[in-house]
Amino acid sequence: MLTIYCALFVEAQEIIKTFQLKKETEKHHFQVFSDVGKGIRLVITGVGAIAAATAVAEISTCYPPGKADLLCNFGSSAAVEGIPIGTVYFCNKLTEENTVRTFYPDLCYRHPFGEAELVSCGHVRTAEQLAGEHVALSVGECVQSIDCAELRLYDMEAAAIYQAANFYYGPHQMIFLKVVTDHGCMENSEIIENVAKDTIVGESAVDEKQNRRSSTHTVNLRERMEMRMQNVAMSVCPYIETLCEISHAQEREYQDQALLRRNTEEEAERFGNELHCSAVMGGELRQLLFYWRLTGTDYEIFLEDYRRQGRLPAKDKREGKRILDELKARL
Amino acid sequence: MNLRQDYENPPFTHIYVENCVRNHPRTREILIQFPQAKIVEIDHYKDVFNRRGQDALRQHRSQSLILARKEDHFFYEGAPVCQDFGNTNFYYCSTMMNCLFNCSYCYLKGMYPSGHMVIFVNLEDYFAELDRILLHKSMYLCVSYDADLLAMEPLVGYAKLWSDYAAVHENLKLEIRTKSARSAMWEELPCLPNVIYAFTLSPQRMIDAFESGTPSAKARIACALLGLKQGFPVRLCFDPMLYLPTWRENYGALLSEIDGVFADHGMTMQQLTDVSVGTFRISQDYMKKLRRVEPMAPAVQFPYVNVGGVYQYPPGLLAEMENYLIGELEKRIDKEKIYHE
Repeated sequence: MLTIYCALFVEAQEIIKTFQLKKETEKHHFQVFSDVGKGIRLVITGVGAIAAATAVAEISTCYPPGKADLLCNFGSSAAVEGIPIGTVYFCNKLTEENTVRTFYPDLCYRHPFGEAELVSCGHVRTAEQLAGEHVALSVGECVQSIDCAELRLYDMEAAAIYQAANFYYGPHQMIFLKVVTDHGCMENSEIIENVAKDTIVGESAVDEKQNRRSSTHTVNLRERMEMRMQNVAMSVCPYIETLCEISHAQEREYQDQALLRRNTEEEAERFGNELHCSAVMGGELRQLLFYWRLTGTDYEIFLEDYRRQGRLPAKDKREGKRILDELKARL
Repeated sequence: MNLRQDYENPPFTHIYVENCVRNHPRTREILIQFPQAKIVEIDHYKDVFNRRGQDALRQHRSQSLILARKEDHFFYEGAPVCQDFGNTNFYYCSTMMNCLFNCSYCYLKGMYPSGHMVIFVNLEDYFAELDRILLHKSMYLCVSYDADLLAMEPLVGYAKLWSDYAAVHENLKLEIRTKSARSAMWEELPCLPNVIYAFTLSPQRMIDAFESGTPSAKARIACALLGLKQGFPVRLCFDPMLYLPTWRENYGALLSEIDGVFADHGMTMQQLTDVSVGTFRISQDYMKKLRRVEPMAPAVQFPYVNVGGVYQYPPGLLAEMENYLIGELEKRIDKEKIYHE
C-alpha cells in the first residue's frame, strides 16, 4: 500500500481524480481517499507540522504499514527566484528549521525528477526572506569544493511527517516529492491558511462569514495552485503508479517469505508435539525445518521413515530428543 | 527486466559528504570518480548510517557512499574469532565500513545498522596515531576487515596508501584481505615483505550460492597466483568454510583447481606465505540481527549451534570440514604454514 500525505486538498485533487480514489467513510480526524485494490490511500493532513504528524500517527495506527508499504509526502513548496514554478523535486534531505535537526530519506528508487533539500518551517516564507537566505547561501555556504549547486525548498510539513512516520516506516519506505509553487508568499500568510480551511473535516463547508473574509487573492491563489498541480500531474501520477508497483512487488515477496515461515512454524508445532519437544528443542526443530525448506530438502522422507519404524510419534521426550539429534546429523 | 533492475538506483548514485571533509583533498579525489553522483551534505555520518529502521539488504542494492571523518578509536584489538597468524599486537582498523560485495552470510550485516558504505577520508589521522604506536611496539594490522579495500582500490586507492606507509615502517605488518580479483593491482602496489595480500577463497558452488557479486574462484586464484609470481606475499584464506551437502566434493575441486593453475605456471602452494582454515562462525548478537536482515539466506538460516556465545556448525560437522581441508592442505604446504581457529 502506498499512502500519500498532502497538506491541502488542492495539492491532492489531481491524484484523487487520476486514480479515482473514493472518500473513506470511516470516521477519521482527516479526510482519507483510497482505492485499496490499487493499493493507494491519500490523506489530507491540513497545514503545519502538528497536523501532519498527527495525521501520520492516526492513519498509521488505523492501518499499520507493513515492510512493503511506502509513504509519499506530496505537496507544494517555496523556492528562491530562479527555480521555475511548477518544477517537481525529489527531496534527499529534510531539515526542521526550529530544531535544526536533519533527516535523510533513503534514495533507493529511481525517479524522473531533480533532487533538492527541503527545509520545513513553522511559518510561510516571504519572498524577501527567501531572497535573503539565497544571498547568505551563495556567499557563505556554497560548496565550491565539490561543485554541488545546493537547491533548497521550503515547506511546513515534511520534517514532521518524517519524524512521525519513522515510528512506522523505515527511511527506505519514505518519499518526499515537492512542487515549487511560489517564490515566497507576497501576501499575508492568512491567505494560505484560508486555502487550507476547506480541507479540514468539519470545516469543509466554509461558512458565509469565512467566505466573506477570504479575499479575491485567496481565490486566485487557490486557482493558481490548482493549475500548477494539474500541470505537474502528468509527471507525478505515473511516478505514483510506479511506487504502487514497487509496493505490490515487495508485498508479494514478503508474502512468499511469510507463507514459508508460517508453514514451517505450523509444521514445527505439529512435529514438535510428536517429539514432545521442550521450548529449546522446538526452536532447534523450527530452525532445522526452515533451513531444509529454504534448501529444498525433502525432509518428509525422513519423517516417513520414522513413522514406518513406529518411532514417530515418539514415546517420550528422551526419544524425541534422540530423533531430533538424528535429524540434525542428516545435515 | 525485473523490478529491481527497473526501479532501484544502481550503487553510488548518491554520495553523502560530511561538512567537515567537504574540502578534504581525498574527498575531492573520490568525488571525481563519480561525476554523475548526486552529492548530499551531512553534518555527521551517523545521521545517515545510524538511522532507525533501515533495511540493509535493500540499501545494499542501491548502496550510497558516505564520506566522513573518523574522529577517534582508529585501531581495535583483534577479535577472538579472528586469526592472528602467530603475530603479537594484533589489531585491525576500519577505514571503510561495509563492502561492495553482498555475501549473504557477511557479519557486517549483523554489525552495522545500514547497508550504505562509509569511507573515512582522513587516513592521515590513522597514520599519525600509528606513528605514535609504532614508536613503542611492532604491530600486526588488518586493514581490510570491515570492508574490501582492494575491491574499492580503483575508486579510493587506500591499499596503495597503506602499502606506501608500510614501506617506511618495518615494524608494521599489514594484512589486506579481499575477495576481489583485479590483476592490475599488482602493477599499482609496491611489493613489500610486510604487506600480505590475503585472498578469501570459496568453491564456485558456494560463491554462486552465497557470495553475490564477487569474482569467481577461478579469477581469485588467477589473481593470487599473479601476485605470488611477482613476489608479493600472498595468503589464501579458506575462511569461512561454508557448508553445502556437497562441501567435500566442492572443496576438493577447489584445491584441485588451485593445484592445476599453480602447476601450469610452475608454482606450488608451498610458495604461499601461509593459508588459513576456519568454518563459518559469528557472535550470537550479530547472528540475531543477520537472521532478520537475511531471512531467506540458507547460509544464515542454517541450524548453527551456539557455543559460548558464538554460532558455529555442529561440532561433528565443524571438525569433519576443518579436518578434511587441513588434511588436504598438509599434502600441499608445510603444516607450520596452516593456521586454523
